[in-house]
Amino acid sequence: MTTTSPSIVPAIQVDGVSKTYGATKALQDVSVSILPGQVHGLIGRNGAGKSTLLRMITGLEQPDTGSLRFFGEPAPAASDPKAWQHQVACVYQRPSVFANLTVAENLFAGRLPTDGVKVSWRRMQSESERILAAWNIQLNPRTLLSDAPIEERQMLTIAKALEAGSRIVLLDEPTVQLEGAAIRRLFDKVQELQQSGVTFVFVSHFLREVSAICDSATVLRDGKLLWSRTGDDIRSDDLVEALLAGQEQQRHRADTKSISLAGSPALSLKGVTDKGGAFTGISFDLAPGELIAIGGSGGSGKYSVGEVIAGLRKSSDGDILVDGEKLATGNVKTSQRAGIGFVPADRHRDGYVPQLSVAENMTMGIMDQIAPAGVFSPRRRTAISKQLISDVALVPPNPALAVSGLSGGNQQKVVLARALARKPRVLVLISPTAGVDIAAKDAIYALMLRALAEGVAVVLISDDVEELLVSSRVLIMREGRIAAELSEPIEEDIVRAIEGLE
Amino acid sequence: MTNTTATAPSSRSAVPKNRALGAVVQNVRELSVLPGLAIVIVVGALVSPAFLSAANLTLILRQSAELGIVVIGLTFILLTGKLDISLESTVGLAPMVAAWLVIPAAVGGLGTEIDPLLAILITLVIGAGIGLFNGFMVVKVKLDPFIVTLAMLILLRGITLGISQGKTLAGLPDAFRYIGSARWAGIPAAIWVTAILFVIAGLVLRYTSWGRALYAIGGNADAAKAAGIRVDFVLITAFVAASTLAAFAGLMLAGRLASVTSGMGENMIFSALAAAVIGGVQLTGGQGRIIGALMGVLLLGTLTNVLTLAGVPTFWINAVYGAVILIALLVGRFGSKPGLR
Repeated sequence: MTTTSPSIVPAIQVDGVSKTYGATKALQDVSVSILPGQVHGLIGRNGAGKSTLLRMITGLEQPDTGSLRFFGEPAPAASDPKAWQHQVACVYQRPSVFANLTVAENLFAGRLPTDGVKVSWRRMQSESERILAAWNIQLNPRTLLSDAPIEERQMLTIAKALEAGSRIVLLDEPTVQLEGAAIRRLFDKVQELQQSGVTFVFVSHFLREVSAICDSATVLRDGKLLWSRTGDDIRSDDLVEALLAGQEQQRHRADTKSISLAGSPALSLKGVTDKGGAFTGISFDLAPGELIAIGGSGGSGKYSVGEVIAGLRKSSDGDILVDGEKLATGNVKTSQRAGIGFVPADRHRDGYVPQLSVAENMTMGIMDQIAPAGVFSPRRRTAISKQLISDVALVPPNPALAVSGLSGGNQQKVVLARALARKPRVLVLISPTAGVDIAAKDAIYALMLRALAEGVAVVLISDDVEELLVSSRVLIMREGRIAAELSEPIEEDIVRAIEGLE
Repeated sequence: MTNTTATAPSSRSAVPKNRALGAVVQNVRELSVLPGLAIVIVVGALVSPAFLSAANLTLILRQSAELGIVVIGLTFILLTGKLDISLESTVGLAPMVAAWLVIPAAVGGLGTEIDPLLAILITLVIGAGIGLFNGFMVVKVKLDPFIVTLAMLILLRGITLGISQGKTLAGLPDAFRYIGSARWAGIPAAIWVTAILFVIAGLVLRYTSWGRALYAIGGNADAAKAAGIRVDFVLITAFVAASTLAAFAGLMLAGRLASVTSGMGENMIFSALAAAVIGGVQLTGGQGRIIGALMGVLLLGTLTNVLTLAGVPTFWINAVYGAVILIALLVGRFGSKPGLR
């Protein structure tokens, strides 16, 4: 299935690998070969087997059948994690580093240089400077890693791996937590290292990123290899097609132009300023059934706007009106009662309680309605959550299941159901489709469109330009202020506005 | 959208199986105490014929009552992922202050000789006040719960010692001693009350929004806040509830001993923590049930009784006690493994 010129030994050769967990065939006879110095995209929907394949390549798990080779040599024994680390390094969304230690200590964690007995800080410092310079990373060895941006932490992980001798780096959705400019810096770095012969495997949900940076790619579906290609064959459209496979790709631009602003707005911000200083003087009106998208780069304050409306932050100036009623900020319950539904930016951090059930998570925000006197009937709660489950088409539709057992897309549906549970007048969605597969993305947009059709006003705040394009009205924020209001924008308009290129 | 509904039927068939498995796993975690309890009971029966007598079994329950009530309160706090080790000093201080106010000056009291019912009320109010202070320090001042309650443990213990001058306060009025000494239907009132409190705690944790909020906060406090749960309020009230229960346990203990000693409740927090954790309450928060905590209490109570009956030398009792707690934890850990994913 793969076409490799016989003269070049592949950096990674996966040969007929299968893996079964209980009744689930996670991987079935998958063969992939990746040449040295390539950036190889690994794509597939959630549950396609990407993670399983990654775990095989990093030696965290052994295949049931089939084999792995690195640079022609058989993979190290399972019992020898050191040898694996020598071959392969893996960088995750949230790089596993010691944020409480300095850059230098992180570089030398586990092998601190000593002068016989005591740790030699001086040698660690000079060695770190050399390594950071060698891999061209602008970090001071003395700074605490918690003060370094995420992409620099990822680069540090890469530098550490390369310094330890591995020449294969797996990037597992490295861009999810990053803003546009940081992604570009990371990609520049990856391409620079690629020139010097390092091989990358790049796992991502963002097809544009894959087609931008990868020179070969593998698509998995349901544990099987769909195709593995090199060179010009991988264009965005092909990737989309490969993932969708027969499904119609839906275009979600919401048609809300027809709504007139003459009636009273569902949501109105009048010169709102964040108490923490994240944004200043934000104003806009939103009619019932209208959608507005807010974009902007990292420090633009766009998330904070959503959090103030939702009651997680306080405003110091200006008014927020919901259906003409003034909203007191800084209290989630108050915002909920005023008719605000909220989907937070990071569902793992703010979205759900993993060990609690779907029913419990979905109804968490309406307990004051279900249990006015503090005591509730679980039967009633289950009935309500069953309705919500069918509203958001949760899979599996089981209210008793712990949310930790759901796929990312379905976890997000639980968070969305929670926001919808109180029948809100205004929905504030922050990056609602970050890190979910295409099918779940479609489902989430469909729910949003349905809410719009029912007259709910929606504020969609996102990092993802494609997501902003869903709206025909887009606000772009820069440095805490509205920098542009775009109508019917195309991608380029948005990117230019975010970057401040007029 | 189309895709998700298309895949639904296949997953739906798997649902009942998951649910059944989930229920078994959840029961296993609490039931994992049972083999340990059974072994202790068998050993007890072998060691002494008196062990299985009604009088002895009643004694075990009576002696476990105070610990049980402290464990209820501690469980509330542990579920939120916090900790309060000062509960044991509240067990000592609250009834000490009340006794000091109620008994005559001649036997070490202040001389106010207040009404015994008022003294009981004062006991509970002192407990609530301590909880309010602890909760405020942890939630609003954002101090580490371990350190705050460690300081409080030392402080409250010190106040208890200062008030009593190290003496035992006896001569308590009957009304003050009632709950710890009365018998209802031939069984000590304390056992009834503790049993009722366990049932109420179980219902509160399962069927009230406050109880479920404890789990949500322990599982993910940020998400609980974003969902509109009043996290600060729930946390502070959990501390208040726990300390009030501890004060009540102190009252029961004073009634049982017919006096208040300056060392009352000493080392109780270690048994309480052990009981809760043996019963499957996670120190990290969000997981555990009151039935498990009860199992843990019963195991420790039975164990203490058996060790005494077996005539284990006094100086060795703690070592054996500790070893059995360790084994119970290992068994519990083994039993709950599937649930930890």
